Amino acid sequence: MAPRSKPKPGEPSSSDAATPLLPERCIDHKNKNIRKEKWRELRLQKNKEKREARKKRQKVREELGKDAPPVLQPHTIETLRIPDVTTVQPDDLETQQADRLDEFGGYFGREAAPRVLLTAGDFPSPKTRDFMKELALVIPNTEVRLRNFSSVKKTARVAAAKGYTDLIFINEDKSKKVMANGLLHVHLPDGPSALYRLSNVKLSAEMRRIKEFTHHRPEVVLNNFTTMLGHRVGRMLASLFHFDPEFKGRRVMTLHNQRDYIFFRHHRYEFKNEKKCALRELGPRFTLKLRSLQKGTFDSKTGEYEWIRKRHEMEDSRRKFHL
Amino acid sequence: MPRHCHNVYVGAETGVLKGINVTEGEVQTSNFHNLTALERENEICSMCWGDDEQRQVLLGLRSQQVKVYDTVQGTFTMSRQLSSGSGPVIGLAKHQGAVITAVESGIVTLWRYAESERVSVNALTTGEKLCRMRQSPADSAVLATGGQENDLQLWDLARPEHPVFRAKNVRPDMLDLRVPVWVSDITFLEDARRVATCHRHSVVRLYDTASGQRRPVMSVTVGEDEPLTCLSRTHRDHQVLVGSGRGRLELCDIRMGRTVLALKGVAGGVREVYCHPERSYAASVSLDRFLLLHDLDTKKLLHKVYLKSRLNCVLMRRNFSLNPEDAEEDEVEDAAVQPAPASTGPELEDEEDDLQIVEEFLDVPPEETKKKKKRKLPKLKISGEDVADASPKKPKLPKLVDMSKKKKKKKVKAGESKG
Repeated sequence: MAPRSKPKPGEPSSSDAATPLLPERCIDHKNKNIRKEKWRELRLQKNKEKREARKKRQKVREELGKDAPPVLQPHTIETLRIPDVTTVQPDDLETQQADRLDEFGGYFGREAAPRVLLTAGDFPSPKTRDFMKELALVIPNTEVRLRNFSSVKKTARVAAAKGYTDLIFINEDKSKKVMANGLLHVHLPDGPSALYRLSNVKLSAEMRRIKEFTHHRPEVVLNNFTTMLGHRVGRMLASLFHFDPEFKGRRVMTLHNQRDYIFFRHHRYEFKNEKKCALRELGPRFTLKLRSLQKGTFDSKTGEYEWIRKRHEMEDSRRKFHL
Repeated sequence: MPRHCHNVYVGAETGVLKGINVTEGEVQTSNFHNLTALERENEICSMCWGDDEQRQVLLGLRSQQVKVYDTVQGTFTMSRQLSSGSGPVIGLAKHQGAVITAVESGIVTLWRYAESERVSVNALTTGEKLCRMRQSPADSAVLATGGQENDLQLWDLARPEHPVFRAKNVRPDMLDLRVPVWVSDITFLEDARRVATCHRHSVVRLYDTASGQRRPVMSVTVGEDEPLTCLSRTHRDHQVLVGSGRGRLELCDIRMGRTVLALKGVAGGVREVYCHPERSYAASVSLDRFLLLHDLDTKKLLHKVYLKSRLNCVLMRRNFSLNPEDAEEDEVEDAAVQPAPASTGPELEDEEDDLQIVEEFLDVPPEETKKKKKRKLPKLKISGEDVADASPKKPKLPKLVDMSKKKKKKKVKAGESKG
């Protein structure tokens, strides 16, 4: 079924009897009562047609049984998404080779285990400190350190020298009284730096589940990173966690991308039987939105960016997504 | 498709050389490498044409190798490992048949066969690394170099001890602090005595090497905190196209001292910009893996090609054109069969009389006569690799009159008229 679309303002109303589009301009009447009546009649008529059409389809499905045409799916923004040229094809040789030679090639080739350094601004607020503590429990092999007034570039240099593979900065804007609103992930030694907007943070202490944490290395699930940029961001986030998960711990971290927002969830799962699986959400949940991906370590003034979110140029359509 | 059909060449970070055939309607890409044998060390860091006929492409790699790709044969004909200084090859040129290479550690070498004739210059007298080396269009022995904290210097290979021209930094700013210098790209303007440089500190500077003034004649600030990474002179001498690391492509007027136009479509840092010397085409290549082709006169984005790897360098052929009449002009020029007058591209005025003669020989009757005289541009196409539908081969118009100076009219539409 073709997607329904709004008629543009200048376009004449179409007289498609089978699938009437939005109400025609002739319904507009100056008198509000009469207008209401006319719209009500139109709506009743549309609903009636819909019901009849559905009955017909059901009848056809019953008659044909297996051969019936598939059930019509409602359109969502995801189904109407503008297809992206840069979508990664699974069998693409060039992308596979590029991945091998990537900054994360070492991680995915199981050469270097990740070691993460987590820090915030100069005087982090109590909530941010709690968030950092929880993140340190969620991401294995993480150290939390105070910033001690050092700059991002200097921290990156020193951390790289000391053997850390990743650096995470939590940014907070105290004037807005929101706990934390930014996350900068710098992959060391010379890897890309991703700047995210952090939102919707909910701590496990609030959920009272923090006592249920274990220390097993978790599995990582990356959902819906389809484009080249998404592929790269997904790899970058995956390289935070150890590549050898301990399945015994039944712990899973999900990074789910939908409409360019990355949702982080932490669950413990248990398979009841072959088909059913019970999930218990532990651990903090937060949402990330990519603002920029910079090639090289953080250098906002003289560095080169792989991708920058340019709102007016890129987000002119509600159906266009970049990850 | 014959290999020499490609009119744009792009070098990628993974080391792949890609040839792209851009026509008005579609774009076809091919890779010239064995994709399973890529190495990080073979990243293509610089590219240039190997000869005047643009048959050879020289590639400079991160591992200090120089490779030669022959476009007619479609193979790599030569590969040489160099050992001068350290770092990737950031500049390539050819002088009297010998290759000139510049590496990041500052050594610029003219590689003649006999070791005694080799000329070597250390361009990095100050600063941390060399970023660019360009050759003067007038004299192939004159090179311009610049880098991080290393301001513009012009060298003559005949006198390699001292630079011919050494730029002086601008005066300290209002806080009396020295203005930092990071030359990321250099271009010689048409008269080859004026040189423009762009800096990662968001300035474009113009030097006049023959005037005796070492300070820049003009310094244009482009945007705020825009790390400018590449620069190219355009078909108009007073304008220069600049690309920044934040994905801005701006046309800068050095006479007026400000940006005239900002081109849209780039999401990542622009790595290299190449403008056609006569026609208004600009090819730019960026870290978001796209090749963009703009028209500077109409400000439109003509083609946006997705090329899968992060891209480093771009080259365009002299006979590049999306206009089939220009292609014929070039053939006429190249073949030198007919005594064609010097054509300077499609920028000239139309003449009614000649148009009438053209119409007589068209198979399709011309469209309504009241259309505008503007050249119609093709729609924006965003294409991936290997577009399935190939355009039909266009038969040539009979060459009866000297119509070399014609702008393409809407009537003589590419697909329709010649079929």
